Amino acid sequence: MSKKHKVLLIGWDAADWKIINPLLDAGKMPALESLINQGVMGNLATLDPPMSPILWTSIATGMYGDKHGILNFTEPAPETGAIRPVSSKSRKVKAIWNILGQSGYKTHSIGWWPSHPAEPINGICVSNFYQRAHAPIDKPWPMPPGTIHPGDKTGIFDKLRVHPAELTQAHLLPFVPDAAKINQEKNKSLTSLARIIADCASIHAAATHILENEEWDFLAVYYDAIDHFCHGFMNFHPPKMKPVHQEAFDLYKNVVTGGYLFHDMMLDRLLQLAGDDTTVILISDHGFHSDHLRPKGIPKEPAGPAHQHRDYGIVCMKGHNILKDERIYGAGLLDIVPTILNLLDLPIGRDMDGKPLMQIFEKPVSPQYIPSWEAVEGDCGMLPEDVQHDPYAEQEAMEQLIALGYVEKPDDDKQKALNTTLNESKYFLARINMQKNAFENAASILKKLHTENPAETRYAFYLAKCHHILNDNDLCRDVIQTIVRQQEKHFPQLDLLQGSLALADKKYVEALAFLEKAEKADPRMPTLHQQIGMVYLKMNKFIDAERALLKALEIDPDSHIAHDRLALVYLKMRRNQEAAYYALNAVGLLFHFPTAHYHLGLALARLQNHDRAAQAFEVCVNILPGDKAAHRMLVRLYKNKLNLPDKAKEHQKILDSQKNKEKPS
Amino acid sequence: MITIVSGLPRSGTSLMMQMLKNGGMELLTDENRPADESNQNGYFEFEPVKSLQKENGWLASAESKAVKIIAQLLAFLPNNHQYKVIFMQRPLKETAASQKAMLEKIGLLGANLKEAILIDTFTKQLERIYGMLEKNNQFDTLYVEYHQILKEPEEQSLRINDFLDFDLDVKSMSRAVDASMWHQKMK
Repeated sequence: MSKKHKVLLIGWDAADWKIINPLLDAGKMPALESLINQGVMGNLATLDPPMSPILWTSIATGMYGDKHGILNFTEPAPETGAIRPVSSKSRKVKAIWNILGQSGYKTHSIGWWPSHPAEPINGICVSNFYQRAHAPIDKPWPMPPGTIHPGDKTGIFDKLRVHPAELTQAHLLPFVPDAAKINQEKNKSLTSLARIIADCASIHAAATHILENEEWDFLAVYYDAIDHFCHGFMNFHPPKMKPVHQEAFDLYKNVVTGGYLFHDMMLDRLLQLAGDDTTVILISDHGFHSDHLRPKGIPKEPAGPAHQHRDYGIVCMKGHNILKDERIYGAGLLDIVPTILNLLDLPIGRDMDGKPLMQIFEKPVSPQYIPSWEAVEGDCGMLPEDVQHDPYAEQEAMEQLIALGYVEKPDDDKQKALNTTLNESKYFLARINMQKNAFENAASILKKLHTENPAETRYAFYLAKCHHILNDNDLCRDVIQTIVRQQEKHFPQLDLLQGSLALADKKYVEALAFLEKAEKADPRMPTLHQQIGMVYLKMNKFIDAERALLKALEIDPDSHIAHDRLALVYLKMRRNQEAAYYALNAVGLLFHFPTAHYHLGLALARLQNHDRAAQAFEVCVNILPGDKAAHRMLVRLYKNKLNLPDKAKEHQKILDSQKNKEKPS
Repeated sequence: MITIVSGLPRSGTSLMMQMLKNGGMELLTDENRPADESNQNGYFEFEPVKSLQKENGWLASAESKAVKIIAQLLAFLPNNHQYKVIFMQRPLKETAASQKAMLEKIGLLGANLKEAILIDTFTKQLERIYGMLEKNNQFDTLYVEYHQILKEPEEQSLRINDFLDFDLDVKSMSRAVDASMWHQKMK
């Protein structure tokens, strides 16, 4: 029997290399530095919408939200007509701890979001309702039923929790050295801070207890504190933002850094307990803007704080057969579970949306596949079927009972909260579909939302975007007009969309006019300059395009679109070396980007690097099988440069069959 | 002891209430919803039941009587009473079709779900409810098949009388059954 490799999966919500890197350079995160030096690290591309319960479930399942069923922070509670925090009962598919448990691994899960009620896995499950203190320290503080599995461990974990009132100055001063200056009667910031630290410490205590005292093969632990530190205090992080008062800046400027140093200390202990033979994977679900890209204000909309999130989180791995001190590229949230399965020589479900990260291996491990882990019978530790539910279907069923007159309608406040949850969940589902390029599905959902909620600009805006992408430009214009009629103040994102529409209509001068209007309102709007660059590119004004795209990258160096467009500009200018450089950057940031792989292939072919050019085109058609241009390039390369006539024929066959499909019958 | 007639809406709960009334049992009802095309003999409902999640003080007045409470609301019954539950069962396809027909008559939209998903949702809800009824000592439950009542009303009336341990007029109970009330016979 082969020895099981242990895996420790650590989630740090919102952790970002932009904050970590200077701390590493200053030697302030030694545990993370040692992890990086022993393994690989890179960006981890998030998903849209960047809402944590959706993302952490995508991480744990390898699937988009439309498959796993977690669509929001809250869900309907049909029995009461109210809403409740999103629960593990609503997850439709197996998580990695279910799959590994079924495969003979002793698995534990701590604090994952969402994970209440705790699942009956073969190890210990501590739900995300564990850590929050909902009573003063001198009152009973019982955990809600279902917080710990197995139930007989409740007593042990109860004692491991840390109450915010237990914290002293010694715990808070590293975060707010001048805490004594705060009038705590009027300013509750220290209370919030204590709560974040105590919650985090409780989760950490649970994790270390299991590592020290229980048999384990896999442990997943989720820390949400960095996200809370950032939402609460990132506006005070250096450099000082203009609207922030100096006094507040001086008080709170160390909180975010303090949060990271705290996490490094905890990481040190986790690594110590895990042992050298364990594969350790440290990830975050998204980054957090910490520089000039911090939004000036938070929009007044549900989950508005998500605008502070950045598209790239972190990934760092070390362990058996993993390269050392290497950078990896193109990793995404959906790739974590397929990678873990591949590491452990277990098959990957073909219904998973991610791919195993092959670039991490010293010796390549060929992935194996099965149709789906959902079809694998046996006890996997998911909640019993009679506990699992689809809260949206149940809510619809309840609406039917209300319409039939058998159940009272919820009161106005409850109904409002319920409607908000239902609408936002559908809105997030539409955005998930857009992320998956299922724009027709997305448009169908958004159309209904827009009809039922005409005043909600966001639904209209995304509907307009779908129509634009689907080339239904007349429909796009109609929706834009409804937004224009309703908007009370200038909405530069709408100018951006109208600019894109004009660009699609080849009305370049008009497009530039809209984009310049947007630039006047918000000169550093993300994506604006990459759009201006595109207009100039279409006008064959390559110098202007280059300038605009370099500006886009100066504002956001991690914009994969700006990198790709700059590659295209350089291809047009026959500056092939630079084209290859920027195309490589683009795919390094977002692997699932077929256009960028195509541009990379073109640049490499011109540089006479035919092998690598072919590889790039192959990746392009793997992601986008219908890309005729890429198939044509492959035919040429295999036939004329690489002397692989059989492969050339293969791609010619694909081109011919595409041609036949297009012929009218 | 409170007698509860339960089940999904349109599973025969009004018919059962009619049978109990005929048999001599006192019902807890009001006239808030009068008889109509969907229930020609009346609904036999008690309006406060609809807000059972919020308020249950009226249950004291249900002692020794029968009251209709749909299945989804049973979980809100407090545990300071004992309940005998007559749970009506009818094929879910028929129940869903009957609900749809009733909604059409009153001009309202029902669940925005495909029929198969609605039936699946009801199935899962019923499984949870059956589990709850079994686990909780305050419930004593008799499951009654709607079609069995239509087919053998007297035998089922005897069965119900035995369960309730009452002295119901079984013959009058069985006369309440009228096959013409079966609106949604599935062919």
